[in-house]
Amino acid sequence: MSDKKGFLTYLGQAWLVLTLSIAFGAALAGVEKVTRPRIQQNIKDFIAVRLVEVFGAGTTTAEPTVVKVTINGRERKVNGYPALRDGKRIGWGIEAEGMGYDTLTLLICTDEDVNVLKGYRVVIDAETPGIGDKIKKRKSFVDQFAGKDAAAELVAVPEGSKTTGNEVWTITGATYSSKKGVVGTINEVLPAVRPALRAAMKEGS
Amino acid sequence: MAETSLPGAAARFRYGILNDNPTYRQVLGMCPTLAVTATLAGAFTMAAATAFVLIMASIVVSLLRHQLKGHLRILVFTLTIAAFVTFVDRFLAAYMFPMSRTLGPYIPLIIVNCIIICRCEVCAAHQSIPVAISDAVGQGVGFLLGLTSIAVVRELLATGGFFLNEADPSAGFRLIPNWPNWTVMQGPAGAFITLGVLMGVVNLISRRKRR
Repeated sequence: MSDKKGFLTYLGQAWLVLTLSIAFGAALAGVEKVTRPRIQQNIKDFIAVRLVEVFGAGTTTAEPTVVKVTINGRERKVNGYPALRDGKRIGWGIEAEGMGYDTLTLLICTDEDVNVLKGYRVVIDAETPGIGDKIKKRKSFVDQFAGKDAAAELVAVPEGSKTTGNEVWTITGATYSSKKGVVGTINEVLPAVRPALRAAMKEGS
Repeated sequence: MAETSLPGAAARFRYGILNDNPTYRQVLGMCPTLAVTATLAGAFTMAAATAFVLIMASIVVSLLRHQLKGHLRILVFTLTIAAFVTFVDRFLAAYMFPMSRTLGPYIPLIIVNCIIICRCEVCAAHQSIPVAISDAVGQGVGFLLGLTSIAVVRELLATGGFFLNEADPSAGFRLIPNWPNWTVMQGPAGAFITLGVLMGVVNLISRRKRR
């Protein structure tokens, strides 16, 4: 069979698949066009609520500053959502991807210069209910991060230990999620993001 | 296969709910059955999303059944299912954002749900649109019953009520006061235990009925 004849035979057999692909592709492009603005607004609203929880009432946000950083040898894009009060930037909500028991996305909140931690919130997680999900439900664990030095590494200590300086206690029974997931992600992401966000601020982002 | 030798619309509908129930009889779609039945709301949304994809895919496949070529039919099924799953995923993210976050990757995973591809192969690829729709609705209702029955047991034993929310004490209703929440029922172990026990109960009832 010649190449041309073979090509036409394949085309003849696959016409239905090709037609469906084009039709569904066009339909999904339409769906994407209609839903995308709403989905982006939903994400922004979700982040805004988390920023209000950390920075207090009256906090708003705007389009994120996207910085390219290298973490563990991998280049990543990180969103820095500005926490705004009366139009003035008072801090950042840094969307950071890490690894707890499964993939984990945190919103790490810092002051404007990324020197002081204001807290963190869990954005996306697949932690085990009742065990790993304590990293978002256990208030005493979540609250201890506020005021820590964001320019220095956090040091994880076992639950029940007395903490000083940049030490934070991890949750017994959810050590992996609290130590590797939360403390590890903050320690990995902040040193990489700090210079990039400061540079972006100088450029006026 | 001649269409007349196959079950009609009413029989297809009935089989989907009882004799061929996707969860308790065919044991298909086990991934969402185990993963999203920790809450009634999650189970209901997953079942509704699966039913929508099942109905739409059945209509398209039945409409194209005379054009399907044997070796390309699975490709057509998958393409059709993937398109409707993407639609559902975007719809949930746009209009039911908290539920979309809760269900996470399990909505896109409907693409590989065996129930849908099975019904396309068994019914929609061979029978008329009304029969295909009837079959899809029956299987959708059967899947809904399967997921919600598991979710009712798990959520009740895990929290003592339904739709309760730690952040909003006025939400939901508590059926068992002072219930010591059985956390295990929220996790994979609770899902397997509940499915096993309920399947045993269904088998027991079926065996008694046969006698």
